Amino acid sequence: MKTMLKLAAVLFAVMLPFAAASAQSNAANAKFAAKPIKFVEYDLPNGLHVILHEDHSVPVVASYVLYHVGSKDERPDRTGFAHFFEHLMFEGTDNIKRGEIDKYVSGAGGNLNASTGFDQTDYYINLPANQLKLALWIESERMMHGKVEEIGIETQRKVVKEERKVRLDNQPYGTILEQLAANAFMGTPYSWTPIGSAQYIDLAKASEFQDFYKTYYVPNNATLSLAGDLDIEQTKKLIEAYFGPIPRGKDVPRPAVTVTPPTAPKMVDVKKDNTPLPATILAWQGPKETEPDAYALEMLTQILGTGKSSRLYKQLVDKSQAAVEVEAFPFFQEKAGMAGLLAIGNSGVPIEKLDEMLKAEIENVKQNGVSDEEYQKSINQQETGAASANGSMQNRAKNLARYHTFYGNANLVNTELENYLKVTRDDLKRVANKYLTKEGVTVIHYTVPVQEAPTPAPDNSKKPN
Amino acid sequence: MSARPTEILDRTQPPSPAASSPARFPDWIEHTLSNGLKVIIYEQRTAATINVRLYIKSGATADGTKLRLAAMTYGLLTRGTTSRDANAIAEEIDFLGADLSAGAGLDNATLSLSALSKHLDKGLDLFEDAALHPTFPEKELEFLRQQSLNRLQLSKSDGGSLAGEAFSREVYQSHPYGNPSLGTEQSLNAITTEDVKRYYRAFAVPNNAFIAVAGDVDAGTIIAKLEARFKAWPQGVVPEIKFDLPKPSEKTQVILVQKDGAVQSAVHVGHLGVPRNHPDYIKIYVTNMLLGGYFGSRLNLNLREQHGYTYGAGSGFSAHLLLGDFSTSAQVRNEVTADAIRETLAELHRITAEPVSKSELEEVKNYIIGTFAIQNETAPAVMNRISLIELYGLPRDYYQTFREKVAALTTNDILETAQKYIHPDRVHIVLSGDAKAIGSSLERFGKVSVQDADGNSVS
Repeated sequence: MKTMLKLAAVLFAVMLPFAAASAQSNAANAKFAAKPIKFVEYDLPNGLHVILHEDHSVPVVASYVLYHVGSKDERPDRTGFAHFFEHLMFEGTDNIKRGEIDKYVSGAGGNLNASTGFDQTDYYINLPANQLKLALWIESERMMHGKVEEIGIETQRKVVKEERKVRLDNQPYGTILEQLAANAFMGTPYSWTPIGSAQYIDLAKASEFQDFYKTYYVPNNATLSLAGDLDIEQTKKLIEAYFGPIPRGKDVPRPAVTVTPPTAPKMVDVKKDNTPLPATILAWQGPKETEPDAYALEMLTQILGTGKSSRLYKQLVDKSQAAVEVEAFPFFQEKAGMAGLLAIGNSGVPIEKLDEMLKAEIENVKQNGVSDEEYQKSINQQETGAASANGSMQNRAKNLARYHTFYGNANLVNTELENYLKVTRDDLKRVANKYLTKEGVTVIHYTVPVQEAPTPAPDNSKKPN
Repeated sequence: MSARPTEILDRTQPPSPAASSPARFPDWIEHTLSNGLKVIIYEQRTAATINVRLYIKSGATADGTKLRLAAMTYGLLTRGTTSRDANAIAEEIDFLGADLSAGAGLDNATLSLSALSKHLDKGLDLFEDAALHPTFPEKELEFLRQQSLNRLQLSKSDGGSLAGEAFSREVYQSHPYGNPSLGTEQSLNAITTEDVKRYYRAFAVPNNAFIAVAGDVDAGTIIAKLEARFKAWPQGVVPEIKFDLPKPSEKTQVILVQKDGAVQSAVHVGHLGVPRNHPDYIKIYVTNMLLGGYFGSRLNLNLREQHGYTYGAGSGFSAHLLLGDFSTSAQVRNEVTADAIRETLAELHRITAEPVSKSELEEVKNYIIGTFAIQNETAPAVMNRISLIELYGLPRDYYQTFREKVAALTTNDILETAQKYIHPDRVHIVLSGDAKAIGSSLERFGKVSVQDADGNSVS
């Protein structure tokens, strides 16, 4: 097995949460670049929202169930609970024995997975089209008859702790999102991340799982989205049969999120043994994902830090060779948002120099805005993103459900690009000044530990000839 | 979680499937340009995007002693041509919202364009320019060299990478598949623009290449556009390179790559395997799927679901053009490292000693056959598959007949395949981790050698 490690691979783990978030908000569909995604949507009497998209081009069907609960709904002394619960939802139900959910889906020629974010927990199953009923059976069982046994809880406690190590603790820069959330979202339920803290997972009692299930895993807190080779009228009947009998739950509690704007810049120094190169992250609070400014700020950060023609790449990576990599990450959630810029420095570059260069670029864009060409480039990149966003049935099902749940408009799957097109050049300068403020910045440093530098810095003087 | 009154349908049993509609692997068009350059086209008009990829059928195995020569060469394709400097290329391609990138693998190298189909002409101009008129500027080579040196350093703090590199080194020995995949400081510093130019001239010729196209375009249109741009590219004589074959392992050995302070060990267990075009490849693929190829595989169910040692465990036959390897993988917490190796070996023994049950084989066959269609949804995914046929010399009907061949396998086929290609008594056990925390627990598996990140022995 050859491990072709590239920086992108290292960053992947770091960037995964950001990538997921920006993929979601990029999921527009260019009005002039693709066929519209047709769909029907309705509520069952128990409150379950249903979205159906029929497309017969490939004989597969994607099922996507979104529960409107994530880590921000957790108690501060139970961080990681929603994600842990997601693992337990693969254990079994009253009618499906422990470990068999996965076996049924694999044995039917399908695959499945789930993920937990700050605002949502989602479950997806992809199957050959003739196995649609299997997905409906499993997802309705999960919503109706979820069952959590002690043996499953104990095993998944261990698995989740290993997941945290793989993704965060044993990974260079793996804790970036955790640091950002703790600082930019301080005092709110966004201040911890979905993976949470291992110690809290140990504290959870069996009765808490019951309560969580009854509170959040109810039809009135869920969206069922199906896309692919299905017949809409027939599918409606099946959905009624499988999901109709599930009782509506109580109204779902929603946490209040009050973000306090910072009055002075913050500096955080992260000391971790496995930090091979210095990294700095500048982050600011930003708009919620549904605000028009979210589109503008996403485009601005893209102009600053995405691609080889971006300002930061040209300045930090190419021209001065101070950095090995730069990234921009817009991170907009349901009730709060942030925007950040990351630079990983070349060996031996003082971290303060990276900060200076990043800040100079920020000041520049605040003073002078962006060029017309940069603006047009950003629009073009959004158009490409929109054209590629709905390739697979799974993406269609997912985008439809997310737009419904968080934007109240599933049809954004077809029209979101328009929200980017509404952003003007002046908006980009305006949001730079509004959000990327001197007093509002959080600076996070990953410094290279002195004792942990076994590899000598590459010698720049030795040029072959 | 509470019992419900009886429902309309029987919830106690899984529903039975409806009649299945047969999924065909899509067809594609092949055409040869006037200079002998082959073009493979898969039309899929669902999204308004197009992918065009030039494959050169030589990669890092032709590096010689200058490891990363292929990677540097292809990295430079998009960093300067006779009419554009690196910045101009980046500006033009980003402005289109398109992507143009190049890179080298072990056996081949690629230059890839993806763009909205309405920008096809401008995208192809840049694609052609990078492929046919690169200048390999000195300044850009220095830039890539520094980037590569830094990436090399970064990789040494990644436990998974350390273990993977050490595993390849042990299994492939002096064969180029065992070379450090990011090179060495010495090799990176030794590469010159003359090396790069010579390398590209020697291997990047149309008789050692093909172009794959997928997406929103019709075959006639793209053939005409490619003919106009690539017809003047002359053929050449590709140097032939011979390698010594590595020797199969004779007894189990343990290599521990030291990583102070690691909270997990990254563990591989395995040995030499088969090349990609091996006639038994599909049998091997199915056998491995059952052992460690998917979530419901034996290794994952044992190490993750039964024991909670890891977030995920698996195995794979990594099959290249000339050779391949077999390896299990898992990242486990320090204190269960030896237990995880013991369970891994037990699973290798079990699959070579006992026939699998019919139901277990049926499940895995259904999984492979069903997900095969799901994997063919998008144009780039289909393009990748078709390209494998060309790269590894597979039969043209490889994917058309793939599912029938999987469906025909018996439990006896699986046992025979496992016995022939998996050898639990002579494996390389290669891991990275904190030697202080785990070192002594490994002695029971074989002789333990402790190494640093570069493969030097430490004790």
